[in-house]
Order: sequence, then C-alpha cells, then structure tokens
Amino acid sequence: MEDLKSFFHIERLDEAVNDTFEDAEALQELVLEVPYTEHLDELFKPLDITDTRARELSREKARNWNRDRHASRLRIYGIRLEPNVYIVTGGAIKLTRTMPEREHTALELQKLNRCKAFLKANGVFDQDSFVELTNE
Amino acid sequence: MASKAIKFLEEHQSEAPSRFAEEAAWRKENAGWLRWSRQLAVTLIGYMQDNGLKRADLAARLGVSPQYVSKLLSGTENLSFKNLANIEDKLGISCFAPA
Repeated sequence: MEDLKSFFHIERLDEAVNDTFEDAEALQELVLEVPYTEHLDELFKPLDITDTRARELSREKARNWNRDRHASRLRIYGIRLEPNVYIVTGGAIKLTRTMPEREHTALELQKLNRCKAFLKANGVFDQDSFVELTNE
Repeated sequence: MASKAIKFLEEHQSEAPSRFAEEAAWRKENAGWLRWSRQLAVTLIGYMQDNGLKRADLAARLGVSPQYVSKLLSGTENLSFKNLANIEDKLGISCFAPA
C-alpha cells in the first residue's frame, strides 16, 4: 500500500486491484496478438542505459506501452538474442522506481543477470549459437 | 545426455510449467461471468479497507473459512445468486453497482 501511495499516488486498494485486472487483460491480449517473428522488438525495450548500449544479450523489459491514464505496472523480462528473438526470464508487478527496491523485482533482476552470464560464459551471442548450445 | 543450456534452464525454471495460453483461452471463454466475479472481489477489497479488516475478519463476518474468502478475492469464483445474497445480507453492502 505504501508503494502505491508514494509512487502512484493511489489511496484505495480496490482501485489499484481493479486497475491491475484491466492492465493484465490488456497485456494478455498484446502477448497473444503480437506477430512473434516480425514485431516482438516492438514489445520489448532495454532495461536501462547499459542495455541500450549493449551490442549483444541486452536485458529487456516488455509492458503495455500504450496504456491509458498511467503507465502499466506489469512487466515481462527477457534477454534479447537477436532481432525479435528473446529468452523470457520472468515477470512482475513493479510498484517502485527501480527493481532492487523490492524482493520480488530484485529476484527478476537476478534471473536476468544469471541468464545473461550463463549465455555469455557459453559463447551464446545470437539465436544460431543458442541453438548450437542446446544441441550439444 | 542433456545439453548444458537445457540443464541450466531446468535448474532455474519455475516449479510449475507455464499454462499461459491455456489459461488465457479459458479466461476469454468465460469473460462474461469473470467480470462479475472480479467486481465482487474489488467490492470486498474496498469493504475490507474501509473497515480495517483482514481476510480472517471478513471470513468471520461471512461465516465462512479464510480459504473461501481467498477464493472470493481472486476474482475467479463462480457464485450462486444465493451466495451473493448471503454476502450482501451479512455485510450490508451491494455487491454490484446499480444498472
């Protein structure tokens, strides 16, 4: 409740829950309707500035970028292998400005970092090398 | 023998496999009554906040188990008219906005 008040200026829990139900419905439609092979890059954006500059294996976040009234609180996280190809590592309801501020989002950050570290350690830089790795 | 990548993914995957597509299809198929169940859940959450109640307190007022209250709050419970009327009578509320 404190996070809802301080970050989103929401006082009523019932309003927040109803809003999240609507948010989830919209994100569900987006995930089901996006043409995966051609437009997945439109759903994901770099997690932060270091990922914007990363040339490979960037950490990415997806949400409903066109939500009315306020930004969506729902997140999907993944590692970008190459254009329109992602490994999804998880998701969360994000109520704070940064991920480390809360346990559940800190865990998602940890999953992203561990997945990226593993892929790098095993020489996985794009979709072809990931497929090669899984065929070993 | 499983590859290194497959082993890694198996070690770090969620305990329950994803049923997203299946559950999304179910939600769409049942969108009508789920909307009502969701509205009831939101009404009860508002009632709990207004009265400073926890789940166990609401369960006591309704004469049901806390587990049943959790189901009501999930927004996915398919109630009978009888149970809806019981909730309204016990709490002195209207579960749904007037038409």
